[in-house]
Amino acid sequence: MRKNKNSDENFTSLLSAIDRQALAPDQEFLKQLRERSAREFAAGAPDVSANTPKSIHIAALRSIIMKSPLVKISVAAVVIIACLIGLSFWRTTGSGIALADVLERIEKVKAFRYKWILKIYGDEASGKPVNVEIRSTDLSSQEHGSRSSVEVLDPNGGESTFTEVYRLPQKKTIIRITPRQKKYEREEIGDAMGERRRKQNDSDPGALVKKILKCRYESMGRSIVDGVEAEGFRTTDPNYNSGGGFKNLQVDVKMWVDVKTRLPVRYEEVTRADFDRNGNRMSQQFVWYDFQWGVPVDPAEFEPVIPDDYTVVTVPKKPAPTEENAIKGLKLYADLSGHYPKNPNWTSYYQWSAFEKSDTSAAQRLKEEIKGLTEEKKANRLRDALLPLHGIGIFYAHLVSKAKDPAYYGETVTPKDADKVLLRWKVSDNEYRVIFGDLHAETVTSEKLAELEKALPK
Amino acid sequence: MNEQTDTEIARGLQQGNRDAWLKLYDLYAEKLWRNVARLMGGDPASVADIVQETFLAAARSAGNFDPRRGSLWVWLWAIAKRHVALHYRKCRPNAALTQAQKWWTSLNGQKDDWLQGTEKPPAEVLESRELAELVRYTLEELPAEYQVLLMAKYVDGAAVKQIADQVNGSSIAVRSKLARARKAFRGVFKRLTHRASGMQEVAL
Repeated sequence: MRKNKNSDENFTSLLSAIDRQALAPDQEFLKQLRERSAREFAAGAPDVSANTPKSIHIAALRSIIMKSPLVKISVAAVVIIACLIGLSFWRTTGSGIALADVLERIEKVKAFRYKWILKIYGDEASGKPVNVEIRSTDLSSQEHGSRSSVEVLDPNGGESTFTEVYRLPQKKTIIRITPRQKKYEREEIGDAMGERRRKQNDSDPGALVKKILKCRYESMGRSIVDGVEAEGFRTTDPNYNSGGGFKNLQVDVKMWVDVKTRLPVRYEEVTRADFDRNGNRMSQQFVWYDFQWGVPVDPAEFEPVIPDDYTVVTVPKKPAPTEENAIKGLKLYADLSGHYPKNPNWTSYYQWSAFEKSDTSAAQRLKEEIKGLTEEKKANRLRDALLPLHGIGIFYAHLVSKAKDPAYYGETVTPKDADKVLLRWKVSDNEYRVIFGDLHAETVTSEKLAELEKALPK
Repeated sequence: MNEQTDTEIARGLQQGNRDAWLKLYDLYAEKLWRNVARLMGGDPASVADIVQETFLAAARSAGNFDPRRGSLWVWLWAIAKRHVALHYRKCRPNAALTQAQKWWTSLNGQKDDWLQGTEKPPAEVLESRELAELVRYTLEELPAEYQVLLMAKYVDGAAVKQIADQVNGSSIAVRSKLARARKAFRGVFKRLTHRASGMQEVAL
């Protein structure tokens, strides 16, 4: 026993060496971190008000992420959802005093890093529950483009799916590397998209400021946020996302700006909206945080490192945001399902699962085509076949981002409604372009449009 | 800090209860700082970074914490350990280890007995920066649970019963794991120090 006691004492002497230079806790720091971590916890915590049972969420996400033959597209689609929705938040103008100053400062920053968390949950129109959580660490550079390290979480605590995304506008290329599958995608982007990404990253927080500026907003005063003294701004104005095609939209957006640097510290956004007339609701929580402004950038950070044993997956070029491609997408959707998508924003509609049970001849033909194929070949065939569907969301997001006052009525208008407005957008001060239910398009005056929209079913 | 407290906090975390998070934070913030500081040495900015990253990462995944898999403290420390390791990989100069290894090699005395605990090292050895560095490097290579046990027992001076409460285990299990942790510590320490001296592994 004596030996054991000595052994313990001697071992204590040895290990205690690390305690001699150790620093006492920094109480002020820990006090600030207490609040910051609580915010982080709140951002990542389940929203009990969403009324969606966790067990159902888990099943849904597993179904979306783990089982779908289009798993890669699903993951990419979710990222695209974020980008598309993000775009819709970014492109408006307005005026203000403090926020205008913030905007000016943001536009002078050459490069910045930040993190974001996006949670989407609720029920699809099909009644299928959705629960998606994505976390990302991003670097954005005016000169080089942007880079995201995206993690799609498995709600069961299993292995996450990681994707490195490089958006390289100068090379007109987007590269996505998925280490788990030892694969990478190389997507060529068109001139218009490349130019847009060169001029304004999709993640440009300056556009967020512009978006808030066009809304009624209020100051929340000063407080310590993420360890710095910050001025808070808040808007719950539905105009924040006007034109998004959402019903019963509720938004709650808060942004905190460092009072010293006048640059954003944190941004939180909660959006809830009806997804269809049955009252299915989708919720989205977006939190951006940990901004590091004006960071030095090593160009090497924008050079993807792809190991030799990774295989390339060719990604067909996504449709350009044109009226023609939107019509092609709508036609395909109607052919496959017999109706139009109820909401143009949610690309989850573009998965094969949305048409699997359809008995239209187009859906039956596609089913026959993929019967007996290997999972990989099936996924590739479906990806190619369904690609035109993206034309709908891409075009709609483009209209929103250009503030073209778009409106979409797919929930009530059917392919048989030759005289009813399916989609419209502004083309000049007094003119609107209209795609009708039978997919022919016309330019009409504002007055004519008012008449047409008055005739729409409520 | 016992299993019941952990379970209550875990339930609150799963429900997104802010108070549960704050309770966790209040219980462990200082303790985490101390242990990170022990592993990081005297760099306050790095310690603050690691503590911050640990709590933010924990906050993001707290809802998934399962008390059946282990105690809150071990879970939290495992996160901290990852961040410490990441930090070391990025920022720690190899020169510090090399210097400490050379220092150890130059020492006279029954070094194996010091490690076994059968002899106490001289005061000048115990108070040296190099020893602290070697202990840090050694601990860093051990599993989080062993780090928790060794620091609780031999740095904090906690009794086995207290440690058992911290890790939601029995005293018998803690004693057994402590023995394994000490053995693992000695193994890594010897490997690190013999690597520098050029001695053959067989000498161990």
